[in-house]
Amino acid sequence: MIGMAKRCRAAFLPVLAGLIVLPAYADMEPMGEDDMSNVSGQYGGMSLSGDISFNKNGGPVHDGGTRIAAQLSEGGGWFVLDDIQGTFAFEGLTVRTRSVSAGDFNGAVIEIGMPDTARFDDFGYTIATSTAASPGGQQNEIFSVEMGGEVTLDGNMLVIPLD
Amino acid sequence: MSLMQKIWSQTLIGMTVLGISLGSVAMERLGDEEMSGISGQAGVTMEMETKASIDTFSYFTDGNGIHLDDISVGSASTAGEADFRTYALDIRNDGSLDIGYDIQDQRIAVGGMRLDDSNGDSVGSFWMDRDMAGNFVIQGGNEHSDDGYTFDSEFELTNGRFGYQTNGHQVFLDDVNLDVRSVGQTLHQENGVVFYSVPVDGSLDIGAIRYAAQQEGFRGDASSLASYGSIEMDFDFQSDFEIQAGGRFGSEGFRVDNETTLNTANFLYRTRTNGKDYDVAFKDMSGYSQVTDLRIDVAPDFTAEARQGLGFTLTGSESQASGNLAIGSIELGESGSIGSFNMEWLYENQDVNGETFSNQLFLMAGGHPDAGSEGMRLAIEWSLADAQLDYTTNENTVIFDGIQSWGRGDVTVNVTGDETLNGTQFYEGLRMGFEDVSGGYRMDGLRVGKGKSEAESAEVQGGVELLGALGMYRSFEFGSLDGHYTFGPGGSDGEGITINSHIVIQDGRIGALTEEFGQGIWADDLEFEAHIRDMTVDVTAEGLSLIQGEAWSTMDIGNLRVGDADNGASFGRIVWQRYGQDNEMVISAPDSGREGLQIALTHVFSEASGDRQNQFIWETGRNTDASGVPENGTGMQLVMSNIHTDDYGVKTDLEIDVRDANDGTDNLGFSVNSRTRLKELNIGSVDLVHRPDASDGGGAATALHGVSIQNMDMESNLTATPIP
Repeated sequence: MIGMAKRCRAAFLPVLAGLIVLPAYADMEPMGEDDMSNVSGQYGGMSLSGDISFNKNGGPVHDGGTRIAAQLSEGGGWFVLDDIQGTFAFEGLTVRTRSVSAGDFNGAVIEIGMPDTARFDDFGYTIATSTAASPGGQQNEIFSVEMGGEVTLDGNMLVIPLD
Repeated sequence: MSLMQKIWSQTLIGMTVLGISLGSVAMERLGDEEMSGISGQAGVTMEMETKASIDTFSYFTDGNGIHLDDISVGSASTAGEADFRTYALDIRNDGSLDIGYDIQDQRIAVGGMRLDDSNGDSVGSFWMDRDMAGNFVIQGGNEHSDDGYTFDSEFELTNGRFGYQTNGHQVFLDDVNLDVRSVGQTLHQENGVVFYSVPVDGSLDIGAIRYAAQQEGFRGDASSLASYGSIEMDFDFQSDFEIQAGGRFGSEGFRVDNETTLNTANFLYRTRTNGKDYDVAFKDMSGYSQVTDLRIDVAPDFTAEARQGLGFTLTGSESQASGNLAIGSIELGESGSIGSFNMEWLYENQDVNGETFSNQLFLMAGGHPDAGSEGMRLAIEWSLADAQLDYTTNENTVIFDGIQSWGRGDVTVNVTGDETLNGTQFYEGLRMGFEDVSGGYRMDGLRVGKGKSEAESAEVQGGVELLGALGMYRSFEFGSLDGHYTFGPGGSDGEGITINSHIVIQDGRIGALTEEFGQGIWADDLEFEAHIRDMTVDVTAEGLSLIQGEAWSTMDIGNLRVGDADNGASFGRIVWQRYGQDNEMVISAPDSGREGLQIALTHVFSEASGDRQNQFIWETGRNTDASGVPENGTGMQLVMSNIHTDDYGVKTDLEIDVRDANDGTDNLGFSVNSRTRLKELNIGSVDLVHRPDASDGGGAATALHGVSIQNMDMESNLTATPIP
């Protein structure tokens, strides 16, 4: 099982990296000069640099990573995102509001400007199913992911409010 | 001797001998050189025992009166007995009058204070106990006018108590020692304006702040009563007053202008916890204050009811109060310094949201109507037109810039006990109540730089949003705020403060990422209700510790908008219901030994109990009424119910600092590092609820029958800089 997990990690590494980046691209909108002219009050936003890490030195219960378990049906098994560990670092991620006029939508949105580069350090997790929310139940690992190195995150992500 | 000097001489001597405490304002201990100037003078020594009472002392402006009732002077230790005083009057070689005095075992009490329209209500009673010894020297003429006066003064007040009582409950400062030197006071008048200049150098020690449940001012040994803690301070300041006739209303009253320079001061709040003393210390303070066109009247207040009060108004076109205060360092417990602070402020009239706000306060009789007939009511309007707060750590500065605040409403003050009166639950301690207070604050944002001067020229940026976990926002407005904070004596283990509160906010609005044209992210149509029970405040070795016994709250955001605050598109409604026990916050300097602010939070999410639970609701697609206002409960809801943790809770350590942004530039940024740990956080269920309150709605589907997050240790190191 461990060997299978390792093979899965190797196989899914590039795929998962792509999955993480692609949705970002899917909602991104490169800002041209015209778009930038619609952005006013720049000091309303901010540029963020730094890193976010999970369980760099283990957790408060054990040395492993964070575990998130969800029960999909009453009395049924648990879907588990297990052993989340590692660091995601970035420079120059921007957050602000701006007006957008596109198609039927004409209003303000939250714009998240992606950092040009971001870095994963020993970032990994495991997808599994289990008979219990806590470790100790019978758990079947579906695949594991490990990521390291730099990725390019170009463009903007717009979060559009629709009540 | 001029006519003015004759009048003032007779008045001052008479007031001093009568024991009215004008002399206590400023006394000077005589040094050897000054003593050498006294020789061969015939003096007068008087010994007095005094027990006196005045039924009512009234002050009127334009026919409106404020009345002090049941004023008495007598013994502090024994009711009904007299105090003991010795006065030594002498004339020095230079013609100055030297009044030495020694007052022992004196209590001065005021039984009540009321306005003409108080209808039987009273502000409550006050008293002061003291032993006091000092000298007061009066000399004709000063540097400004030959017709004026120069006063040199020194006194030492010991064994002092200052108390305030309402409805059978009292709070008093115990074991007060005040040491004051004031040499070179001057008093003169020009063109109907009285100029009074007073330099003061002194210290104040308050051994304890205590609570007692009794009507009469406490006498005797109070050491068995619980204490809020003790205070020590020293100060050196110069204050200049210009006082003239003419209030804001009618032809009578006072106008006061003042400039005060605080040369140095230190302040220390101490609690004795687990048998050891720990301090919150404000060190190396200095500052400046200017008040222009302050008027004092007895007059109707600014509300439609025109209630009579003792008014202090800064409402004229030239009225303002401005100043600055620098605090060299703030030290918490044994954790070290969190850094230095500098505040600058300007209070003056301003227009906000189409309304004009001013600065005024009217003192009236009657606190919370259910607490009894005694209490204080303050009708307040404030208008902070511009302010900034600088915070410097390790020589790097962040400025919270362009701060404005405004509001108006009633604040009530009572001393209350643990009891239910007329359906209202009161708690032991000093109660500060809020009735229909509306107002808010907002700020431009942050400026960050190497030191204050570089920060002041830096670009305004966001970053306050990183402090949302502490309840600090870029802007916050509220249509009404009601409720109370009651500050009781005693901390978690010894001296300290115990807080009970109930706060209701309606028609609120919180802003994030806001910009100069009013665009941003807005938590709009906000209603908030919060209850805190037995929250203790102590100073410990680690720092300032706040522990909530039990707390529950509901924040209902009617619309989470983007763009314009009134009409921006909405994400829908969000409700965040909280319930916890033994939540804790410790504020300290960082463990690293660097300056900075470290805040350790522990939130214990308790399991649902009755109508109290931790629950998150997101509702979209609501029906609207005829006015287009969304009706809550008529849309689709995503409901996360019974969110709870084990006793470990969710522990979050925040470290706030100014440091290199590490973004590939040399920029400094506003840095918030956080570390969040939890052993187990569970969500009972995640449900999709279909229009629960709509006539055609009903029904729910459970999407997830449970979610569990375990063994999490998440760190984030984020630094905010301006967008390039």
